[in-house]
Amino acid sequence: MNSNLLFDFSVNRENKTIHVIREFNGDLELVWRAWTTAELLDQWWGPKPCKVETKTMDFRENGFWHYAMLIPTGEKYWSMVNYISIIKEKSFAAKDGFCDENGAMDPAFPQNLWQNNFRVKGTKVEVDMLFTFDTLADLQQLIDMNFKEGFTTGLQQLDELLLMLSNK
Amino acid sequence: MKEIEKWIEQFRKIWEARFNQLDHLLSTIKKQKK
Repeated sequence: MNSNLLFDFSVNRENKTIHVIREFNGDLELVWRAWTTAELLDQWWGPKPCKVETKTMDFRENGFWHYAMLIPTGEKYWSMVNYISIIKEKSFAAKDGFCDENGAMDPAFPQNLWQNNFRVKGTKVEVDMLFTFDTLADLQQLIDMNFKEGFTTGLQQLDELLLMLSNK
Repeated sequence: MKEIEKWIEQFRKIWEARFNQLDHLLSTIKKQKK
């Protein structure tokens, strides 16, 4: 991680929220584009060694981003981000969750609300993210699903990668 | 509750990794623009 850039991560169990703040070096137009276009999202959204492939991106209110997360074992996990509100270069809110290849949401799994706010801070842009889970049970269900579907395989490799990078 | 802690830590690591990749991408695009 670039130590010059703010990264704050906090969990509020009472409110069932996770709050993340991160600064980025770049102008607002570029940072916004990185978060809202498939061309750029595909290049960074998949945490290595996972990759992301966008099937459809329709970034507008009531639009959606439908993508697959490819994990190193060769499996694909489909996700959908449904955009609720968008204020260009200021904020967007969305609900995300798991779906199938055709974009049908899986009702067995909860969706979480996700709000992103963008603020210019000098030569940097601060992105403020708030994830809200409906219930602790929802969070638990996501945890169960992650373990059941073997998503942790990719995460374990990510752990190894992060360890390797931190030792450099 | 241990599983929740573990999941939260993984969630944090995923975002940290993504952000690092975004840093790299932004830096690459800025260099290309120059």
